[in-house]
Amino acid sequence: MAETLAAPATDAHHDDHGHGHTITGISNEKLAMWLFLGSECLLFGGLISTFLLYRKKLNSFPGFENAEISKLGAQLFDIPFTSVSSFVLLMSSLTMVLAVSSLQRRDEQRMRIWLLATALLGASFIAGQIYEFTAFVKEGLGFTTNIFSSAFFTLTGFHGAHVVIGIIILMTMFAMSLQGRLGPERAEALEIAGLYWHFVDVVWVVVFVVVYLIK
Amino acid sequence: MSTTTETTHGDHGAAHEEHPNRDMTYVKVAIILAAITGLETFTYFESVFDFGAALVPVLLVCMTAKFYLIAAYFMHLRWDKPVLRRAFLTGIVIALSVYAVTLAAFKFFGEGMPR
Amino acid sequence: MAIVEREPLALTTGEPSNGSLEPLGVLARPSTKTGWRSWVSTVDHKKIGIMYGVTALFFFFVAGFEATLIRLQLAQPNGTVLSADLYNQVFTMHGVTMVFLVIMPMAAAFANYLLPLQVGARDVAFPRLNALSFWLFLFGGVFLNTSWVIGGGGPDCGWFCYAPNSGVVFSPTAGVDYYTLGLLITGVASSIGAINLIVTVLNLRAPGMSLFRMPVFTWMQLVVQMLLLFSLPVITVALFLLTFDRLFGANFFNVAQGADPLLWQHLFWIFGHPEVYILILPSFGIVSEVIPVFSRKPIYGYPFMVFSGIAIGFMGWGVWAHHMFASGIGPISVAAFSLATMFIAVPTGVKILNWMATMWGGRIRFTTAMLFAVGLVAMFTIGGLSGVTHSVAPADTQQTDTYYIVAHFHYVLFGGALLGLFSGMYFWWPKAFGHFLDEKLGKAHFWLMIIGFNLTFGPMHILGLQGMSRRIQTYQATDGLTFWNRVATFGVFVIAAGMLLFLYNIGSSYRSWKAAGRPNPGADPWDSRSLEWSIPSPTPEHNFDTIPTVRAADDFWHRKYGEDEHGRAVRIAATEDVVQKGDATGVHLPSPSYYPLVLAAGLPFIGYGLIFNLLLVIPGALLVLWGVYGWAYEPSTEPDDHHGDHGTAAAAHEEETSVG
Repeated sequence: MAETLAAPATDAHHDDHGHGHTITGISNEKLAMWLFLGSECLLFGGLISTFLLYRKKLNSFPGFENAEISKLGAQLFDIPFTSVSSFVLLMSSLTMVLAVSSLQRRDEQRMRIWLLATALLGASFIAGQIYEFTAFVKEGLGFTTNIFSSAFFTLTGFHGAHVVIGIIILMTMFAMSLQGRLGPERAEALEIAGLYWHFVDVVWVVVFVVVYLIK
Repeated sequence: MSTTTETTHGDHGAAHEEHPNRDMTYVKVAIILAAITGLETFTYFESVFDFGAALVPVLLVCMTAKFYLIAAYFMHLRWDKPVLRRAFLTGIVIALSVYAVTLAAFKFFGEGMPR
Repeated sequence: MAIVEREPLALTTGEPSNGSLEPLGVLARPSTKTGWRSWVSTVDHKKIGIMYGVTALFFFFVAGFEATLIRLQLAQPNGTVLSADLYNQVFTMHGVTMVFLVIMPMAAAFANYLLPLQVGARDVAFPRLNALSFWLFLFGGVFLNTSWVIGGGGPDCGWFCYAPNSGVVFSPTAGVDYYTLGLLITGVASSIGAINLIVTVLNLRAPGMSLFRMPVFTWMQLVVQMLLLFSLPVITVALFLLTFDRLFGANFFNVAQGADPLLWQHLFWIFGHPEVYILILPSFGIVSEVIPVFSRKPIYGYPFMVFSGIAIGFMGWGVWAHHMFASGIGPISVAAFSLATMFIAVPTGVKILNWMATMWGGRIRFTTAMLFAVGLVAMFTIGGLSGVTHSVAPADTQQTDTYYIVAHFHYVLFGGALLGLFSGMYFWWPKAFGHFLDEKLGKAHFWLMIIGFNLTFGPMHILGLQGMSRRIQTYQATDGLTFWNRVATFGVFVIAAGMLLFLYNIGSSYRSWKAAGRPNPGADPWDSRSLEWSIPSPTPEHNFDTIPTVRAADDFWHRKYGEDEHGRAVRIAATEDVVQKGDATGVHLPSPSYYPLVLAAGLPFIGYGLIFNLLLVIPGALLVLWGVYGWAYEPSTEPDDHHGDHGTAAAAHEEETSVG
């Protein structure tokens, strides 16, 4: 759509990419996505800060008076399991970037394979998160149990929701590709979807360290 | 796609001249990322090696390195226009500063810290 | 150039897939240019801007009615107009409505209408997202106000809704849920709008329109949209936490569980202080356009104007805790934020001085627009000065929660933001509607507003220093507060008279213009400086016949005037010769769409569902899905609408990712 708006002084020529004519040389869509991601930093920053604040105050919660915050990781989290999950999400970033790269080289078949792989890796991550949540609830740590659990579930839940939305976008693009609506001329659309996906991964890089590993 | 399009493509970043094949770079970056993740996970097994006071700095360095690698390579910030980098960095810098100040006001960084 | 048009395969979902790129779903592409359909499906930034303005004006009367109720209650000791509970709801909704549903969208109206024109573009970067922003704002605002009739009353927690006072224990009705969910919906609207307008300003500038040739209004809006972009997620976090507390039993603000109530205050004011600049900077931009035109001088110190705006934008992030001096945040924090607050007065002072220097020695025409602009400079200065007194923490501890604060922020928001917005209305009315607002009635409107405003809020300085508390529904006859309260209540009726006169002016100006045979005011009725005046009034649908090439700041002025050897302006070309005719045909414009409306309509259902019955979430979610996929599969420009010779399907689809 950008092309109609970024039209030059004459209407004689449009190209089909929408970024040939903007004054910055960046397409509207890509710039918009980066601005959105900048804005998302503040969203996850707020959730992470809330979590950090309340983990620090853990001992003031009923039932946690004697908990040792430094042992929290060992007591609560299954670190080896989460490490595998993190690794899976990290690798989905690789497959994503390979999908974009394939489409840029007009290899649509390979692009679809990588795209599907990315969505599957993302889905495994979500499966792992559901398993982890269920395990917590079974052990008696539900969303409403205490402030710590509320903050934990909210932060990881928000991230999980972002991953799910990402999977939906990827699957939509996969379907579009099957319909022939996602040819090489639209490689940038896939790249932009990829930016979102990588951002979700980057957030997990932070969450993994801040929530799970730092004692 | 015609050649005309390729040319217009070119002016939005050297990256897209002929879409250089960076797949090997991506794989290398992924291997480094995996290695860092391995190191991060390793810190959890205190019985094998105790990082002591260095634990938090080591983890933060690992985290920053992974963040940088993904943003620079997978998200193409290395090759893209600076204004995109600035948009993202503005968000990160504002987030880091306001939330750090907030946490400091809550004495998050220790009782001795002024607030 | 070739777009590869392939025959699409069948959709995996089994939905029909047409060979051509016909949209999925049942909503046919609207094609009318007039009538209500053309408005509900429009993606034209000018129509959307006008709809923003009309809606904001409507909410202004709603919130003004609430203000009148407050003043009636306080007209005498032990007033009985409102119960204590109702009083809480009324002042909360007055504040929330004025901030989120009046000033912000009114500024958005100007931004939508003017930014593309001032940078020389045909529309905003994402016209359909622009429509989505408007519908989300409208539905969010209506949703918020339905709390009066469904669910047991409006929110009663003040516009900043401090937790845990806003928790279920202290506020058991659904009012606060309406507040959190309503603000989340309008927040999405503002976020999308912010991204859209930033991209528009950065990407769609006409050739030669470098950043430092942009009009000051465009610059101020750019700063505002950046502030919105980065501050809204912070209140989004706070609102989500409060929603989870209230609806799902989370513990974020549950003090019995060890929660820290200051968390809400920090999150709210990290957003809330940039928000203050979000409210005032658009008006600063408007008067920076109005004053040079009616002084026949370029804005004094353009770079200082721009940089002080940017400085305000940056420093606005470092002063939030001055709203919390009385909350026990600690001496170091208080000292630091106190100092930062004193510093932020500097760029604001620069602006005031520059406006006065612009007027100095100018050939001033006191039109209504100019009167309102000068009114802003004077009234905002008073509000700014009382603001500086708050930065002195010991004094602030005394003033906090008194009417002195109420006086201060009404002087900056009413005396600043609103007067600026009215100035803009009188100034750009002919550009938007093709006729003037009556100047005589306009001037009466101005004087009623300025007198009523000072009568209402001036006495509040005194009341506050005498110790009258905010948010208390009454006072005693022995408190000695009666006289000034009476004056303030009288003032409200003067303001109300002014506003009714404004409404009358809108109607009567239109009628007398029609009776006079619809005379056209011409492209450039005020002899102005920026690009929007180089095209006919009212603005043609395609904005510019040809996109202008810009050679200087105030380019349009320099097309009309040169300089003699003494540096005086000399006319070098007749206005009619340099303005565009507006008769271009075959300009390629994005086609209207219903999907933004469909998508936005889903969210109130989800809101009601979360409050009353989760089953309602299902139709809401279905509407959203329908909207998203209908949107993604609908080309932004209809193939039939082509004036060019090539398909646009590929470009159309790119939008899909920006929705994601």
